[in-house]
Amino acid sequence: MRIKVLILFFTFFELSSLNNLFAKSPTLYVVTRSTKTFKIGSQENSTVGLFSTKNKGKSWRHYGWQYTKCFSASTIKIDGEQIFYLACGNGIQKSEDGGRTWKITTGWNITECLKTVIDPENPKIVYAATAYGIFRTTDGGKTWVEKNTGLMSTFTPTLIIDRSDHNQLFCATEKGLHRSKNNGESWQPIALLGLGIRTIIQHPDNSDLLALGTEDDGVFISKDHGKTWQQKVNGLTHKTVYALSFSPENENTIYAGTFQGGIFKTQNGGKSWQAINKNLRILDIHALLIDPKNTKRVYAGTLNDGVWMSGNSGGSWKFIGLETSQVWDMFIY
Amino acid sequence: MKKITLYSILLILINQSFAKPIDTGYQKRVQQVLQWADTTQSSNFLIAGARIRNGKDVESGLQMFENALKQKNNSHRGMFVIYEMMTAYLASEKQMPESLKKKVRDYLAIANFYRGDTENHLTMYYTGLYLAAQTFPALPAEKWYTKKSSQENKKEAEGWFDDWMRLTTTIGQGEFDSPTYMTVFLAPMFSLYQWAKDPVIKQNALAMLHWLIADYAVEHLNGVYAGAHSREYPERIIQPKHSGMTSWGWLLFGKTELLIHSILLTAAMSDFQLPEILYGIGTDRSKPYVHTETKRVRNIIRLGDKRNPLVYKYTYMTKDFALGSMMGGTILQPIQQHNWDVSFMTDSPYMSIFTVHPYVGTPDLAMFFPEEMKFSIDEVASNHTYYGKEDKWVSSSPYEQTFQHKNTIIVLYNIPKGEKFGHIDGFFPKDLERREIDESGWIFCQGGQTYIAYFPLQPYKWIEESDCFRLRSYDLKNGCVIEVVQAEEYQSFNAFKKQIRSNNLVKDTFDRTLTVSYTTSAEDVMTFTYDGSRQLNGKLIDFADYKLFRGPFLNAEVGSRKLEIIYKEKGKMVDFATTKKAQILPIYVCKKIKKDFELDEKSSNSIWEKVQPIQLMDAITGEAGRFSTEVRVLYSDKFLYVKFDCEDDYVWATISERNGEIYNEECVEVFLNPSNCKHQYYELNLSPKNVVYDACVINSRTPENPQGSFKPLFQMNIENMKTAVTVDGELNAKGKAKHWQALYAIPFDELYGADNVPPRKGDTWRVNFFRIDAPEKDQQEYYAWSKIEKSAFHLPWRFGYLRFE
Repeated sequence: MRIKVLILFFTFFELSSLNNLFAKSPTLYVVTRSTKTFKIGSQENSTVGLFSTKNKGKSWRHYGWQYTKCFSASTIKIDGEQIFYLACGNGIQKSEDGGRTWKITTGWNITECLKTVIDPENPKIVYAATAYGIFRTTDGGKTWVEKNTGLMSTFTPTLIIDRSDHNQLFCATEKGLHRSKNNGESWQPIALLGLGIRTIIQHPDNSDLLALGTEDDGVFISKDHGKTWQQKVNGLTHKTVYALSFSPENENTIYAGTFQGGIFKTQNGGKSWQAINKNLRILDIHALLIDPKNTKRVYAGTLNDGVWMSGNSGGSWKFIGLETSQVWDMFIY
Repeated sequence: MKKITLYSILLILINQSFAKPIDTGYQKRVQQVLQWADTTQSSNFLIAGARIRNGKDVESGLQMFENALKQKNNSHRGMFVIYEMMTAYLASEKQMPESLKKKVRDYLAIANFYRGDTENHLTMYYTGLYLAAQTFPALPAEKWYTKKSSQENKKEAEGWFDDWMRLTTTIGQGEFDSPTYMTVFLAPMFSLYQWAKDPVIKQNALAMLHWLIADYAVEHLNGVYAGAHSREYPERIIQPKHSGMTSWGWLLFGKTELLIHSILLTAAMSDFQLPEILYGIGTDRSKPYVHTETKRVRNIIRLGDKRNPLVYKYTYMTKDFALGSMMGGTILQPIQQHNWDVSFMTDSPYMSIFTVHPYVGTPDLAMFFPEEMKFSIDEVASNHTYYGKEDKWVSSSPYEQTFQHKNTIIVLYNIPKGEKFGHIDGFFPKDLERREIDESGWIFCQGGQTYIAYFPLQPYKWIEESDCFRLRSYDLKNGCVIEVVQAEEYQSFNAFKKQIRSNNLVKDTFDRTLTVSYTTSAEDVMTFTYDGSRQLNGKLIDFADYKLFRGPFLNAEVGSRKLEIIYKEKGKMVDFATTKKAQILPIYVCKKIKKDFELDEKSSNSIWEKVQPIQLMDAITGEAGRFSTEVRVLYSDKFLYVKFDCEDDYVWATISERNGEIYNEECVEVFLNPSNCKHQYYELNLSPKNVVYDACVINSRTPENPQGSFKPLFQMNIENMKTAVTVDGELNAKGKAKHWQALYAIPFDELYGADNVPPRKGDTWRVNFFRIDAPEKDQQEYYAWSKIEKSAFHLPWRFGYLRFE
């Protein structure tokens, strides 16, 4: 009987492994803005923009224009076709065929686009955070309308859609955190007024848990859905924070990417931070991503040194691709 | 009818020579540029297009064009490439084989031209996009790299043009007065003017060319783009003639050495005719003048409360030097700002003196670029290697402020502790004729025929370099006082030094109060406090008084969208405000006489001979008509005098009663609008029989509705208007006349609506002058001062401007 149980157990275990083996690999998408070696007018500049890898950097695929200044991307699948929105210096580019062809959806008046976010409940609604404020489309990019009412600063590097209420948005500005409860129709400043905010994240499973990174003041965490915020900088020696990532498995584990300080990790909800930079060559980190399927695997996007990966929760890092690139954004889909 | 005497004929000849156009030499230089394209070893789209168009070596031009299509960096240089490619295509379209045209059309599907991020990038990009969309109007979205159809691309470009032209003509350019970047505003506007088919776009491009060239001309000095600049490269700041605009200066004004750059081909391949007035403004330095401007800061995206704060520029221009400045105290361009200098004429390439605080800071970049501010400095420094260096010659320091009055400037610095660099540097060319360090503390210099006196407010040291003596001073509170004169103003250099030494300079409390007071050689007292007031002879200088342009040549109010360009009693009003299609309307400066005169020839000829004539042209095309028609205008306290001189071989008239329809025969006409009223003006016509038609016209027409009705009210006869007509030859005899002359004396006290009666100096009325000539009884030819574009005189928005001197 015991042997039968053991046989069943190992069979199950092997079946699970086989299942994982044949499961579709998540794709890592990386957006690069420029490269360290870029020279204006040169015939030999490297390709930049949107890249992807399905094999942890062994090979990379590029999408779209080769030399456009890009800041971030977002994607969704509709009717089996993958749709991308790419935030670029020259507007929002959209692909409706998995990245094969691209259209500039914006006009002369929208420029320096820094972030796009697709409403998961209505993919025709997309928000763009730009150097000139927030723009919104409700027709899949055919038209874009400025939505800046109530913003104290129109320099908006990023925004997120609240997972618990898709009509609610949080927006980072140069003058603090703003919230809209009506899809961007109006904004209210809600916290950290006067601070330049660089990134905002929300925990994938606990929508009350939010974190943001600032230009000069480190990390702030809210456990009550943005009502109150606490600065968490003990051990965070470098307080310009461009990137944050929650571990899906543990709310108290957060990774922070900084300027000139590399990557920091807290395992106690921000009470203390430790630098985890083993092997990293460059300590300017602009993007961080924890693989949801394997939370020990963490990706780091650097400024001028491409993409790095840790397979041991940040214990050490190895270079995996896009050498000399300035990685501005990453996501897994 | 009186015959015109020999004396009168002589006067006519004198006047005709007086009226002879200025030889600008522009067309000759245009030909030189076109010829250069055939032989130059350089290679790009513009040269290719010119070479094909010229026809001498079409094959090499076509090969050059194809090579240019294959360049790998076309995509990321997209804003430059697209408009050059389309200019070359359109210029050589007749000779271009269909196969190459197809390549261009197909290339648009994959070109991925990057739009760029600055004002000049977008101007070039949208010019190219517009011309491409116009050239290939039926291309669907999938045939474009934008994935928008030709119509969508065209509309997008038009949106940019509207916005950029609106901003420029209300609060000025953001990338203003740049010796490098003005070239890439002019070039696309030449292309757009030449190749746009839409008459609104075409005319607006022409109007922008007038605007931009005028802006440049007024600060041009023998090839140097003088004064303060929003942005420029350091190597061109210290050698001003090395900038791109020097070649434009050569092409437009010819007052510098031959210097051809391929970008000039955009002008050379166009039909643009350089107006004499712009040439005159760019070259006449016979009298020193002050010119001030309002411009705007480039779009501020963060670290600022306003998107485009205003900038105030001041330039003092003479034939030997120009002293120019911006008020400072703010960052208005990243990296490459140049707040002030004195540029003097000399054979050396190093022809300016200025100071700079080498600022390096994240606000400089973060205000204008969206990238992470802390990362920006290293990145900018990788392409602008001078950026982080202590010895750089351009800098967007917010800690430099200036106060200029004519030929004198006070420059003050207050650099906070902790800045990367706490010193200021002064550039003194090594090959100055003189550089004397005086016991009084003044440094006396001579460059060409210019004397410069420089007083440093703090201790300094000299650093000898290959091209200059660098004056370096390390005090955080710092500055200098500079007075500049033409050598001819003084008997000798020693006399100049003596004068300067005697001028009162109060700086004793500077370290505490940051205040300096200086009495100039002309005895004007300038008092300046950093972050405080600027006072001239006790009166506060308020920058709110600055216009968009103000000076002897250019005038425009902030927000007006209208620029008045005047040179020697003639001018143009470039008007973007009244109609969607910009208007370029004539201006006439009317001189005043003290004593009234009779209209007969004996009394009046000697008076008229001194008056600048205007030539009436074909009313529709603006080209020369069959005959010469000159108009002269004068005024006194009582009358407006108007004289028409009409060349003609058949002078006829039959109508004898006042207010008869003499406009169905031959006549001259004055449409006079003293109140600049939109819907009302006087129509004063005169026939060869000296028959008057005078009425007050009520006109419903507007630019949006030019077909509306109008009604003459004859009750408004001007009873005391005097007229006189003389015919040289026979009246009503075909082929038996040479000329007829019509004179008016219009009494001011019978004209209503003007702000001032009689008009005062500076007042402006609207007016148009017409002539109707009829070589046959049922065939009329129309002449006008301000072109009407269709056979309708009664378009009041088309009237020119009569400026009373």
